[in-house]
Amino acid sequence: MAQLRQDYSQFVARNIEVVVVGPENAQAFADYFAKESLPFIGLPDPTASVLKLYGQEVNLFKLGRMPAQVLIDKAGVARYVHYGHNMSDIPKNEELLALGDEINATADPEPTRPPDLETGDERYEPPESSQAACCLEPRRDAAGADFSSALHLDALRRHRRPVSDDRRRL
Amino acid sequence: MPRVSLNQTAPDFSLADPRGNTVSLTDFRGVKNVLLVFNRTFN
Repeated sequence: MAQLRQDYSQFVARNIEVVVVGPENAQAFADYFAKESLPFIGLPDPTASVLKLYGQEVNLFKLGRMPAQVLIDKAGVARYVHYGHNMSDIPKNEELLALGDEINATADPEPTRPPDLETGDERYEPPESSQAACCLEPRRDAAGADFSSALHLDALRRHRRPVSDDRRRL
Repeated sequence: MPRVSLNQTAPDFSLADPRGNTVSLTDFRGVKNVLLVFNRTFN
């Protein structure tokens, strides 16, 4: 837990809430969290209901519970599951933080979209005036051929394409 | 022992924190990622 506290701000930056579940009672949790100034959410589970639900291993020979970590994304899906086989079998913070980046990138793609793509939909809906100009004034290519109707059709086609299609294509 | 499977919805639970506030896993749904840490004993 000291290891997690060290990089706590990095977890916060990745929108990861650290929730610690243990078999101790509420008083033991309160005392330990105060003593160590732990910023996490601590949940005493004296009846081990959640510990059993999640299958935390108890090693009778070593007289203790094996550490376990589960990283759950915003959708509630377990994206990383680690069951320790001995007391020091704990994933590195870097590993968890990298996973956090990955989860944020896949589950919440909006913030990672480049800014020029965010206005992409507007680019395909030119203002009334420019549409009118495009249709009223015949435009000619080098050979003098009128291609304004082709342009107009193209604009219409783009205009009619559902927004979701644009996103998919981008 | 049941185990949580990767890429499956994690089982929901509700527990009271030391102050008596109930915390459920679903409280974080759509809001935050959660690193659930099953602790060995405090020492």
